[in-house]
Amino acid sequence: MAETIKTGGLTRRSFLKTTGAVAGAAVLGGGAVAVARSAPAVADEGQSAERICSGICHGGCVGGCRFNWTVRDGYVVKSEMAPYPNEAYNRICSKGLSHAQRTYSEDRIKYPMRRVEGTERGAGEWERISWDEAIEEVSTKWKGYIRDYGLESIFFSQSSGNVSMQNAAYLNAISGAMGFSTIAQQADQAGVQTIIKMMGWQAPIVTCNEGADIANAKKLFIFGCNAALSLVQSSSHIYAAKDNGCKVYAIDPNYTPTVAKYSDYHIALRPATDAMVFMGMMQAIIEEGLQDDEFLKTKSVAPFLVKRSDGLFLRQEDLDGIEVDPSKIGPDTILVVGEDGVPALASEAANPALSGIKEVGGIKVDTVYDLMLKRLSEYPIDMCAEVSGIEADMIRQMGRDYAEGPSTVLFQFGPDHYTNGHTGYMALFALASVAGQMQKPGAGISQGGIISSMGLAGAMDWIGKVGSAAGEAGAMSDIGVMEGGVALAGCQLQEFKETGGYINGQKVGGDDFHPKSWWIAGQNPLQTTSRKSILDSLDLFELIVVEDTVWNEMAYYADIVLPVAYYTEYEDVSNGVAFSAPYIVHQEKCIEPLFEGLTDYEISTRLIDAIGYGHLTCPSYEEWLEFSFEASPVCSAQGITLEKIREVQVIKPRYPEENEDGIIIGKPATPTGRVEFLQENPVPTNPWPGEFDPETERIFYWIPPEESWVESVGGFEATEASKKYPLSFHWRRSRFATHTNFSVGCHWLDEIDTEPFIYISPSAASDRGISDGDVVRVYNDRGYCVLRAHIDGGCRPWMIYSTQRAQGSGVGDYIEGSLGDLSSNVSHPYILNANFSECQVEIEKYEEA
Amino acid sequence: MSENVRAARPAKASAVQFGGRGLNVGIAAAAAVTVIGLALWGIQLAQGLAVTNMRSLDSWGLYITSFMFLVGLSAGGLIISSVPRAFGISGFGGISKVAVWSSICCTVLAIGFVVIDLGQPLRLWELFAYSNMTSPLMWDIIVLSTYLILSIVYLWATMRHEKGKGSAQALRVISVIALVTAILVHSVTAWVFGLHAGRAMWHTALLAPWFVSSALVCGTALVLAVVIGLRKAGYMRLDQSHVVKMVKLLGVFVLVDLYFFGCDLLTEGYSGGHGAEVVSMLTSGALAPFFWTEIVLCVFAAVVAFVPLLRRNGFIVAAAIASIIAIFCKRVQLLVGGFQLPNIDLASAGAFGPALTDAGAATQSLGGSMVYFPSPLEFGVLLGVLGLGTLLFMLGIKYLPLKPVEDSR
Amino acid sequence: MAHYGMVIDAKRCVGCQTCAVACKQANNVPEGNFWNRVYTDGGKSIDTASGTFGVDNHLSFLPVSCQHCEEPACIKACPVGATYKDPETGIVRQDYDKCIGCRMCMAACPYTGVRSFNWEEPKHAVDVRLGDADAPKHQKHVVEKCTLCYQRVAKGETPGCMVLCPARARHWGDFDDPESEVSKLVLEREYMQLLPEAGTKPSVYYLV
Ligand SMILES: Nc1nc2c(c(=O)[nH]1)N[C@H]1C(S)=C(S)[C@@H](COP(=O)(O)OP(=O)(O)OC[C@H]3O[C@@H](n4cnc5c(=O)[nH]c(N)nc54)[C@H](O)[C@@H]3O)O[C@H]1N2
Ligand SMILES: Nc1nc2c(c(=O)[nH]1)N[C@H]1C(S)=C(S)[C@@H](COP(=O)(O)OP(=O)(O)OC[C@H]3O[C@@H](n4cnc5c(=O)[nH]c(N)nc54)[C@H](O)[C@@H]3O)O[C@H]1N2
Ligand code: SF4
Ligand code: SF4
Ligand code: SF4
Ligand code: SF4
Ligand code: SF4
Ligand SMILES: [Mo]
Repeated sequence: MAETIKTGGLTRRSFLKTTGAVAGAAVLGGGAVAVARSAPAVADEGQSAERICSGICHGGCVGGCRFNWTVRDGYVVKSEMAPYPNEAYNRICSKGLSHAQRTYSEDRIKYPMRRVEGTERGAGEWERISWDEAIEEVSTKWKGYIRDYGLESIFFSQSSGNVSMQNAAYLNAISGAMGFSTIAQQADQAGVQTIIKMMGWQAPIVTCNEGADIANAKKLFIFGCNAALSLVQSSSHIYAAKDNGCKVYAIDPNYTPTVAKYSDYHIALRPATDAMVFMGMMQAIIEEGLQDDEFLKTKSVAPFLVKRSDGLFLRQEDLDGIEVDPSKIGPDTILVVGEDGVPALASEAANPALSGIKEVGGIKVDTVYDLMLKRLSEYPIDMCAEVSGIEADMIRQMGRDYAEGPSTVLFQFGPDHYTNGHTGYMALFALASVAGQMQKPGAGISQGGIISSMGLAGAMDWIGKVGSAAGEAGAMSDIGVMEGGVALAGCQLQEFKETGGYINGQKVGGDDFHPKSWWIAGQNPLQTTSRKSILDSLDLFELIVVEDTVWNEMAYYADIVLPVAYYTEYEDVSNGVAFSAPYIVHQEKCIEPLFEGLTDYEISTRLIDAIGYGHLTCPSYEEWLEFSFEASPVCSAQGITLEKIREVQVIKPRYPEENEDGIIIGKPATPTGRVEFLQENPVPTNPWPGEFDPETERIFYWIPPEESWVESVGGFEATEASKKYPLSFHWRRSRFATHTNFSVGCHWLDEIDTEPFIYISPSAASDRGISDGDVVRVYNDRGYCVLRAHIDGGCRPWMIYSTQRAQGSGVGDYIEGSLGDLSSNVSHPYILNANFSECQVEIEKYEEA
Repeated sequence: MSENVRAARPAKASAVQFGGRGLNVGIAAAAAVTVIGLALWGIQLAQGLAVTNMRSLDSWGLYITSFMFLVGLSAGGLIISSVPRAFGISGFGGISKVAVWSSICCTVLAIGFVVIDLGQPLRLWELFAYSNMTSPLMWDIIVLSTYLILSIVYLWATMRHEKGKGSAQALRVISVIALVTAILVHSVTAWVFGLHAGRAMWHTALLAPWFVSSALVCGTALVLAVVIGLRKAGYMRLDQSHVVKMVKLLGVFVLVDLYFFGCDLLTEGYSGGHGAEVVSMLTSGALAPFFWTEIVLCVFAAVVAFVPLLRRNGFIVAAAIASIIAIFCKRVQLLVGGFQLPNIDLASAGAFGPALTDAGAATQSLGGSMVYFPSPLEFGVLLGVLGLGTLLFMLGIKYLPLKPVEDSR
Repeated sequence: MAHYGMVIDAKRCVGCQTCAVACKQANNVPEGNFWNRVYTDGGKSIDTASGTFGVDNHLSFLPVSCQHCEEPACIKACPVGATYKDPETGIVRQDYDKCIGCRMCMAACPYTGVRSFNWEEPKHAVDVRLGDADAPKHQKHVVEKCTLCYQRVAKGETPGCMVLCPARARHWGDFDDPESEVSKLVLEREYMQLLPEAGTKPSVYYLV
């Protein structure tokens, strides 16, 4: 009978999926070989001893799903959902189920490789080298660069590839200690930086309610978020809320699976007008007297007094006539005016006035609340309605429902990727403060779970322990680089190159600053920013080192490619910061690294050691993990150690923010401990900022996006770009990838997601004579891409999208070109962000030449 | 035909052999085609049925179409030859043995197609070891093999009878049994398709009688074409009146077949829903070319049959061939039609368009719209099997005493 | 005696395809085959909506695997009994060693895409045999389909696709046990079955 146990079954695979240029590389030059494509040794048939290992998914999807890995005969054969203590967090997704397959995929980088001497970057000709050669070559060059151009001539990039202690935490600690420069991914930054400004971000403080608390919401506003795909791990919480009768609004310009499955109301606003809707809701709430004065007074900056002279908060020092350095002012002496009309410390006044205070001790002031009303008055509800395209009555209904609560806003980054992206998030936090819909069960602004957490070790902790290459510990900039190093974003590289080292007219890094090498480990820079602009800028660097697990596109453009061990091949601990389940989870080592893969820890330690800074590295990975727990105030206080996690595999630390019911209720980690929806000192997040108006940026407002504004409404003219290229292109998350992680090597997923598509509305398609499945060319002045079109009735007629999984040339997912080439690099002068939705395009049916 | 030279010699009833170099060349050619077919089948077995264009959502193709078709051809021949004898009416002038022989050849081929279509031909024995009697395929296997044996017995008995052995009564009994089996073969083959409630196009009680009528159409047509050919080749003599009789019969069968089709289309189309989809798939959808070809050819055959002026040999042969092609088109409609309309017509993983298969995608990218279209290899195998049929038939002609004897009817 | 089946909450399913991939993993299903398909009820391709924006969009999902019918069309049609009902569990099983590859069962099963045939030597993207140790080994030229993870159920374990649904849309159990979750769900909730007119009496219920 067939369904009885039959062992054996390890057959040599009889076909090979071509991995692109590498596989087909011509053998050129002395000793050059195409990448060997040998399979791992085949196990003996027979006994099937199985072992279960604990694990967790590290991809940067905000998930953090727990696994059981099954190891049989020395092979990882399964990754399956493993339960959390709170079953609400039990889940896994199609990607998580692909880890075993990926471990053995032909798409892995197997050996250190060097671009064949004399061939072009990206030509796909490689020679295999030994680890010793690789370390020797990189370190020799690095030593030279450091000697001649300083530590800052070496750039390090890491992003969401592996959100663990191994990759994200250790690499950042080491590169930070070295004072290397950085090229940041800078995606989601309009949202993230705004949230940091308004809510703060401090390692041990959790700033939003835990994911499972969504179940307690009675009103759920899914905002700019295709949760059914991008937060699939939250669907259990969303349904739990719906089961309790929660009313769901989906705020999205398109009809998406999220709208279809979750929402009671689809708020189909014009793209990039979210701030308008939120400002309208605020006005509705205030007009109807539904605002939460208590919250505004005690938990937000609303009662603070802003000096008309300099925009700073009124402080005790002002009244005492003490001259203070604006950069040194703290939160402790901020004043409000109490019930009795007398100024008092904000921390002490029981019932401060929200409105009407114009002068204190002869100093002209306004309450934050009054400034807020003033700003709102510039955007009357009817204007909000006209610009957003949402009827005023609906905006009012949303306002009432939101204020009634308990309301949770589940957000992601749909509105983030426009030049005005931050305006929506700014307005959101003011709205939440007005309605008091935060810091209560069922009421919060959630990214699907905890933001920041137990604070396992990061760069600052490490530098505090070992010091830095420069000798002393500097501060870390907003963009995540240590003092000494230079911070750039991918979207600035082209400007940097073309202007000979200037961004927004500022000379980057001083006169003797020369980029020499780019070390990339856990990032794929060819996404986010206009891909072409990155490729055009690669000649800024003499040596590009890509350290990755798989042959993603960036690896094809490197000079040296280093193979990283896969998640299954080393011990690790989830650092919890980016994950939506409030646990620390142990990743056991399942198998020895395959081929010649080394861990990110090993590679970086060897490299740094070889250039003579071994004292900044951690002697063993085990010690690094131990240190990680020690550095965490939460863990160290609760006796959570490496030993402990090895024993229990999963642990929920007791969070200070937990309420009586054991739910984590986030609170702001701002200096004032309040929601700072007004910034007294609007500091640009761009290290090389452009010119901006601090008065405008201080509190929410709205402007249209720079390129993707298609309809002339409310006095805001459609852009020139939109007249030439009438379709607005945006990216969506793929179910089958986390960015480009899981883009290669997940063969089961490839069977479902066979190729990239451009999704287009039925009307836009028929206007252009395009039918479902046709090959089309998408283009604008910046580039073009040839791929197949699918018709999606859910698309706003002039909006089109594709899902982010496919990659260009090296990987070769597109028929021609790459959708990444179409993106704009434009950024707001105040908020540095990758605005890949500022992207007007046209589509035509593709006629082969 | 190249045998003409030899055919000029008077045929001797006792002479077992017929033909000469021409026939030998024909036999050799047919044998060669057969061998090529076998080789292709070998490739198919080794590389897998993936070399065909069948896929899981259109899991039968040209082979089963041909199976259906050949069962039809075979039974038609047998019925033509056995009806007169069974009912004791005047026949078609000595064509009986040739008709039965052609019918035997077709049966062998039909069974051959089942085997070729099978994934695991080496497991055929299981059919007998583990027979599941609820399966129409099982019935078909039983009825087909019985039928094959009976046809052979019938042919043998006829030949014995001609040699004056065996009683006429016995032969008549055998012919009755053969006739009943022939009709049964048809019905059962129809049930291989028609009993599946889940396939809208197949699931009609009319399918069995309709299979019989289609079989009569193409069986009669085949016999007609063959005997006219053989007469021309000088293999046999046949009074034109027999030919005319057969042509008229063909006309009647064609009309009956069309009538059934009409009934079925009306019943399906009238009630709307899935049935209406079937009708529109046939009349204006993916299968329209086959549908209209069938209708046009059938009408042509009927006109030839009923307009005395047109009953000339050229037209008759044309009508016969037209009928055969028409019925083949019918088989194609039936087979593909069963798979063309998915019951769960929703978008699924890894596919674009309604076709969930490579083959479907292939025809669609070629501008077609059928979920299935055969691969070159399938055509090759088909050719091989037809080669085998020709080989068998010619061997029969060459070595068996199939010629009419003067007193036979 | 038991009568195992599934209850799938079509209202909840978000179409994440997790169960489809879980099935591939648990049973190491060969390339190109799906025993569990997540259909999109909407536009022409997965995850797209039908209709016109702002007017009449529709989009929902329907995961479909073998329905483990009480009156399985496939079993009646199989000439050699290679597909058969397990008397203990009511699971409709496949015997790869017996199957002659005639594909009668595929013609008979009314549920599109449920049964798959290995048209060639089963292919797998990696050399390592993934999935359950005791999942039956795949063979060329035989028909296969969801076995309700018989290898697991027989050991008292949960089918591969049943533990993980992030939307909590998947349930399985014994319909003969009135206390089982599935029995209760079909009592409490409105449900539909696929193609009831085919007379197969599916053991998969879709809550609507
Ligand atoms: N065009 C476009 N670009 C986008 C987006 C978009 O929607 N469209 N979205 C943006 C957003 S929101 C984000 S957050 C960013 C994310 O951008 P990235 O963080 O750059 O994400 P990935 O593309 O997944 O690249 C991660 C890289 O890390 C590798 N990796 C995985 N595991 C490891 C490991 O253990 N060690 C090492 N060394 N490498 C590993 C992966 O193989 C992959 O090459 O993308 C942004 N870019
Ligand atoms: N499966 C999967 N999950 C992921 C990731 C992944 O790559 N794959 N990546 C993770 C990461 S790093 C991120 S940043 C998140 C991203 O998560 P999301 O932001 O939810 O992801 P997107 O798919 O970009 O969805 C954006 C949605 O915003 C809508 N939208 C576009 N413009 C606007 C607008 O102006 N206003 C509003 N309100 N909506 C708009 C789009 O129609 C779309 O539905 O996903 C995380 N989760
Ligand atoms: S990719 Fe995200 S949702 Fe999927 S298993 Fe990993 S962490 Fe969970
Ligand atoms: S796992 Fe659940 S939500 Fe996902 S496709 Fe399957 S049934 Fe639907
Ligand atoms: S769904 Fe199809 S294969 Fe499954 S038991 Fe029913 S008829 Fe058989
Ligand atoms: S293909 Fe196999 S299981 Fe299906 S009917 Fe034929 S023998 Fe039975
Ligand atoms: S029960 Fe098992 S075999 Fe059936 S669909 Fe689920 S995982 Fe696949
Ligand atoms: Mo992101």
